[in-house]
Amino acid sequence: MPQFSLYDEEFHPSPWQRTWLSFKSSHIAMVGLAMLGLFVIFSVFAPILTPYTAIEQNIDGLLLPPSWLPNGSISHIFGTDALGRDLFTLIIYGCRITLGSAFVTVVLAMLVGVSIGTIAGMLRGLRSSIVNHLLDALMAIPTLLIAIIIVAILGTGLVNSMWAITLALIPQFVHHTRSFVRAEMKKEYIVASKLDGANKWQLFFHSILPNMIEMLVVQGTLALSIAVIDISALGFLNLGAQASQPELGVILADGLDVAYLAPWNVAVPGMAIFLLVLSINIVGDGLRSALRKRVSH
Amino acid sequence: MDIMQVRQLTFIHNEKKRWLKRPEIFQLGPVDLSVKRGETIAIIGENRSGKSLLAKLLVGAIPADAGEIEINEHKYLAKYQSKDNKQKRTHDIRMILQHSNESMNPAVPVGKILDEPLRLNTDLTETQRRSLIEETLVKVGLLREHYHFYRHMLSDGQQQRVALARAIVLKPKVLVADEPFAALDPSIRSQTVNLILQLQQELGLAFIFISHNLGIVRHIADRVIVMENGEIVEEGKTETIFRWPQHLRTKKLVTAYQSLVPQQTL
Repeated sequence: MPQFSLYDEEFHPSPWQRTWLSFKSSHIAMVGLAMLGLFVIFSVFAPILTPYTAIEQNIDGLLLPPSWLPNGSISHIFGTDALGRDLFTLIIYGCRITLGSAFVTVVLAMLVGVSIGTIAGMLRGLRSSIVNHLLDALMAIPTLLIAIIIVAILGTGLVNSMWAITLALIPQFVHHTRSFVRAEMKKEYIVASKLDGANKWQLFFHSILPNMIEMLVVQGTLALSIAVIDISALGFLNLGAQASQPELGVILADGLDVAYLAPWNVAVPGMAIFLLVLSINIVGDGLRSALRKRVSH
Repeated sequence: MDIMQVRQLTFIHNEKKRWLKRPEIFQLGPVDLSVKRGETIAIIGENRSGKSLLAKLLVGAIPADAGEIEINEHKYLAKYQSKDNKQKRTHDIRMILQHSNESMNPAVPVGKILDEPLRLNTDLTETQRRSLIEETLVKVGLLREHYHFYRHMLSDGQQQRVALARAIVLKPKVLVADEPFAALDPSIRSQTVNLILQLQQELGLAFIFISHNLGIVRHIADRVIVMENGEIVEEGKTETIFRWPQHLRTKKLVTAYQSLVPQQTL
């Protein structure tokens, strides 16, 4: 119907490009992303980037101070611990184990939780409300407590603590997905899609899931920071990763024994956990506002 | 030549009595209706008279309790929706929902929204679908590049056009619209009216619409249906209804309308 012919716009940013463009415009989010990126790069390439191996002991240099102190040396940037292990190497391997296992945990919990939540959200009546009330009761208990109980049953160890945290994280994914899907199913565009002939499966994938990404990002980053804290807490309490594994909580617990002699043994792993959780939360927040901008501005 | 026949379409909303709540019973119909090819039918009536419900029953958004609908020589029992029937039905009768704003998914671009009915109901390849969608966008007065736009980037009138494009992209025989002109300003409204009339000529579309705007009804409708309390109380040619209304409700509606327009148009 146009009476005149117009040139088409040459560049149409895809949904992900749009998200990236608005993500980039927030400086804080970019700082967070740089920090998280650094952690991820260190975790992935740990064997290449570290000067020593995680178990290598320098018998001549126990409790060496970090390099910026007068009697520190550059060969051990963050100093060494009571066994003469290089703290920098330990932290990097620690990030690898903590971040890696937290990531696996969250992905697993998200897959299970979102599937159960979607089914519960699409069902109606008794079955749906059973899922709802059962899991709401579970959500009232802190995840760490649930994880400790599950570890007490399964036994200690990193893998067991990962299972425990996965199980403890599932209820909140189920809850949020369920209430989101329920709210969405009442909306007019679902009726429109139904009239297009979409079945429930197609409705979920093509109509509800695109709207759910924002919620998943928020819940996913929240769960990731909870998982990082819980895994290191279990390691610190000697319920999760064992002393032979360099895990941030375990390193912190080891450092606590010599905290008065060598405070950097506590400060450095503590700082690493703090920065890790902070950067995850900042990136999650930036991603959420970027995703929201994509569909509202 | 009837393209659509509706026989004894009935819907009963029966909310059983609950604690501290009065039972609510609403019955629609039984409705009989026949629609000719290229005909425009307007449904008017008060709020809560069952207009929107009738529209939704016709397209099958809500399953009816009894009755039969025949479109383009396919018969459906309105009560049941088998898979095979549903696809043919989607193909033959399409609906524009009342709120075009809410009927667009905010997280899906226009192109994907228009792609959905094609993907689910036709065997076209991706490139064919793409070109058909662009053609349809141009037909309803949008640009090809609106393919990539999201809901929040479009104005109300453009959203209405997308809703129209979504309805006609499958080349249906019957188009049902629930207050398609309600939220539009006068100039966009007349553009949309003209657009629909033009499409009707091009595609031979039968057009059933609900409206409170009797000016538009008088302007474009061939026949008018008046509803009250879930029943059709009067039905007839537009001019007949407007000049010699029989039922009390129709008289009220028509006099209310005529008190607004100058008398010499009568």
